[in-house]
Amino acid sequence: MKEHSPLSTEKIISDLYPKKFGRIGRVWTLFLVIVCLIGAYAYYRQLRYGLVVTSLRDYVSWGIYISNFVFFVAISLVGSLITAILRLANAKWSTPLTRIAEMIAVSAIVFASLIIIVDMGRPERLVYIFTHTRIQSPITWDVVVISTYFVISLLLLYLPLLPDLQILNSHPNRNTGFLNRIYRFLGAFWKGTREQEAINNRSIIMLCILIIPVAFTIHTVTSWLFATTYRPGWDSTNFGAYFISGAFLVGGGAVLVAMYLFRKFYGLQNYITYRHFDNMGRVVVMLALLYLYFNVNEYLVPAFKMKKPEEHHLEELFSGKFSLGFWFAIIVGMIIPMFILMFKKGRRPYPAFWAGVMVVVGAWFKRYLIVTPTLLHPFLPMADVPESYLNYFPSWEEWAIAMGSLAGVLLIITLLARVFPIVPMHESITENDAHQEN
Amino acid sequence: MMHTRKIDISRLIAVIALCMPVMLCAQDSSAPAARESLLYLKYQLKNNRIPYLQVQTKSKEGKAFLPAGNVPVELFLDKDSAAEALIGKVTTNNLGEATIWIPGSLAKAWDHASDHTFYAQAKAVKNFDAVQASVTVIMARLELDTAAGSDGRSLKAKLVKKEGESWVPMPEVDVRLAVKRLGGYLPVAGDETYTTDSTGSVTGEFGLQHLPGDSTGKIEVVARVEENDEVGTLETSLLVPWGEPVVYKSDFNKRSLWATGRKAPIWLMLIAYGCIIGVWSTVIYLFINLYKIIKLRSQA
Amino acid sequence: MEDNLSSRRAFIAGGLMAMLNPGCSSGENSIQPSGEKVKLLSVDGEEIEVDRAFLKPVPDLPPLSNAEERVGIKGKKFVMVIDLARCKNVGKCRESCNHAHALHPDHNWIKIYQMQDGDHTAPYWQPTTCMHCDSPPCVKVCPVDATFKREDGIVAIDSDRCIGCRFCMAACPYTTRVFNWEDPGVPEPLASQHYSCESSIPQKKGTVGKCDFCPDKVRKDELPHCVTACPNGVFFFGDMIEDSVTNGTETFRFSELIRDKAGYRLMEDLGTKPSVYYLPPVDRNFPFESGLPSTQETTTPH
Repeated sequence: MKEHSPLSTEKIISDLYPKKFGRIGRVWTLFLVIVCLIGAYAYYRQLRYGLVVTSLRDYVSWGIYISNFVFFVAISLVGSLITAILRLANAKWSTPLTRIAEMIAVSAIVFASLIIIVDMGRPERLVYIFTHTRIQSPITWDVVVISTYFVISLLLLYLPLLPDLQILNSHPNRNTGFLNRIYRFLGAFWKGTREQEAINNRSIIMLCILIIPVAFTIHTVTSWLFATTYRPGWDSTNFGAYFISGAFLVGGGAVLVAMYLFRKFYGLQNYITYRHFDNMGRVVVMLALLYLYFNVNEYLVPAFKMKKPEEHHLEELFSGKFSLGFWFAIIVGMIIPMFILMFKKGRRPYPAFWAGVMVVVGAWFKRYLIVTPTLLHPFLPMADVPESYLNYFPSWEEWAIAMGSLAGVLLIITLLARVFPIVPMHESITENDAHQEN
Repeated sequence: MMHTRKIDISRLIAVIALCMPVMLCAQDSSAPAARESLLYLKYQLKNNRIPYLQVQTKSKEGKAFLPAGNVPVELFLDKDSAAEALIGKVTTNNLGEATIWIPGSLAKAWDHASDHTFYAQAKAVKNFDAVQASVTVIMARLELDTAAGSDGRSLKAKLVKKEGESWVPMPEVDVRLAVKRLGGYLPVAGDETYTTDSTGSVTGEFGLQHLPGDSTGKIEVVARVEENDEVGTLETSLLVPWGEPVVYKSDFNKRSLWATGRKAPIWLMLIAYGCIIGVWSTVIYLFINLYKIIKLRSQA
Repeated sequence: MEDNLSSRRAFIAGGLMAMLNPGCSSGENSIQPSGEKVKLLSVDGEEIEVDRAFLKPVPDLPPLSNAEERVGIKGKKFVMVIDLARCKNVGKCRESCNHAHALHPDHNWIKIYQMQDGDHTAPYWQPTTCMHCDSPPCVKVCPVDATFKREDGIVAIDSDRCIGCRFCMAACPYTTRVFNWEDPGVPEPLASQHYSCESSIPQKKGTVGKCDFCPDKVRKDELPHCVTACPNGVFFFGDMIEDSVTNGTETFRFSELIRDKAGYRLMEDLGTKPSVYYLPPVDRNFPFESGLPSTQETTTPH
């Protein structure tokens, strides 16, 4: 609840300047690299022997690679939420969070693309999607939208970064030689003139407006990978809105986690304040309520009817094989965080962090429950197949690759945080000056 | 009708078939305990012109009959294994089947005889023992023609076999009258069976109403004597205009959600490409803006 | 009538080339003479010349181009009728299909399900192939045109195009598609031959496979492997345009068979428009129990 005391520009710059890794930073990065390398080795095995190294078989032909894909696409929507929607809504408090959001968005969308390629049986034929395009296929739509969203998110990370690059370029002694080269390459042309600022601000506003429909499209199209099939649990008209609301929730949770960690490890207490946790916490409560609403629609309505193909599926989710995961995802992923954040005391950094963690972990299980159980309830009986086809638990290679992709996302975020200021410097200075004038 | 252009004998080997319809299974008693190698030889004659032989090699393992593929078989005309009587050599395919026609070079040996015996010798190969089979066929003709019936559509078939220099009718032989369809023969009148009378003839009414034919309404009717002990399998066909003309207009070239990419529905292409062009024009505009910003670097 | 006979003879003689080709049920078959003649013996002891292309079976049909395989056999619309009253779960259909297509041992393109629609309804055996739907959900979702609908109704797979995304497997409500998770172990010489969409051989690692209605056999006027392998004549295959289906022994008019035996299609209400019809298990040839594994003798040492 502390209001930050008036700061000088110099203090702001030195607080927000990208810092070298301390011991924790180095250990953390090393850990992520190791996890990535283990994942890479598992992928090598998969390339060599085929997807048989996974536990995927003819019935559960989509497993944690696809649920990871959906999870990453969902998280990447945080960029549009924080950066675009809140910015357009003039929620000035969100400004320090925009870069974190964009970093998360860019890394998540990169690994969403990579994990999809990992899931392909013939990755060397990826180019066929472009040479033998079928515009009728939802996968084609997904490829187009993901590429588009990646470019837009990258621009939305880069353009507001330009004024900060100017600051970084004006302190060459504080940067390593390598970083100086990067900063100069990326931003030496930015002089901060009025014309440049005018064009840049216009571009940023356009991006913010553009990214919202693209973000909606990306997750709607991803949901259509399931909703365009006939299967119980997937054959729902609710899916587009259901996925998007889920995406905003998990993005909000991820931001809470990132806010706390960056604040703690980079000493950003003056910039990511109690007020930010308070506001972000309220946003997450609202998103959780919205997602809970869609979940009720998604599960209660078919349960009322209990159509034959859905009967077995719903029973397994509510009280059968998947009930533990299902209720965990609902209670721990939505309800408990909501209760924590409903109270003022809960919207302090530490409890908010845990609420965020619960949201993210619950969301991961939720995505798994969207993908796998349906595949175990086909219309026709499961017959004339080996035992191993009748259920699914990911193999070590799948876990390694999935964890590797998560580690990869965290690694990119960590590296981006090393290279670029986590909280926008230029905007903080501008707002501080405006604040001091009042 | 003798055409004497040069032909390559070796090319004929795969294509000559003359055989009696009698199946002779030769069993090899020295086969390993559960496995028997079986060789079947059948004769077929189409349209009273070209005769051919069908060879089938099978393995009996326990109670199961499995096709034995890639078995070389030699076939001979009227003599067990003389080189001058060689009809040809074939190798059965993966399903254990082979067909062979008789080369024109054996015309003299054929010699207008009233019957012929065909010999097949399968060579021993991996998983298949050497086995022999033979079949004796009396030369016969099956004639098919339309006849005036009660409602104007009737078929008449006549079966004669060669005895010395003359053709004698064959009574008491089952003949099928049918329409040739994909993979099978559709009977012209339900469950009716036809057996030749003392003159070797059968008559059958064509009972199929509104049967689809080709684009002009023609259908191929067929008379068949199947695997007769004396004369083999004979099939004679005839094109008659007793079907309905059919021209199939498929949906293949229509635009649809399941057609090839270039035949997507127009509404989908408009929406999809419209969105893509709209969004990407904006993105390109933004890159142009960035370029403008870069260009303004020289200003103080 | 004499003059009728001679004109018929002339007709036959003129159509001799087409007559020799058993796949020709009309005069319009598209077999092209290859120009290469062979000298054969006629039954009258004469040497006659016949164009090589018209002999059956044509030993080396020129390989079809990918474009031709994607169009299919024109003028035909293939359909299958499965008589559930005759099925006793012998499994020869499944076995011969697996063998003919050199599938991975874990895979079955034909699956025989033990069905019981409701608690008090009759149990029955249901062999299920790909339905070759006229509104195929699998084809709709393929991003690279690796699975496609042909003019003759067959939905085929091009294993040289498939990227292994398995969206088609998720989309198929009949769960008829299988995926080559590892190398399927196709024996030589099949393994090195060029992949044909019509024979679906050789199956390839990382791609999808399914029943293909055996177009390579149908082109030669032969029936798919399952049809000929079934000892009880359960499978009927044919051409809807010709209005005829056959199990090799019996041939029926398709329209009459469906009408008289009340044929139906699976999951009709999904709107997939399948090409496989089922005849209900009425007046069964065998009791359901005779198909249970405990009562079956094992016949094949496969």
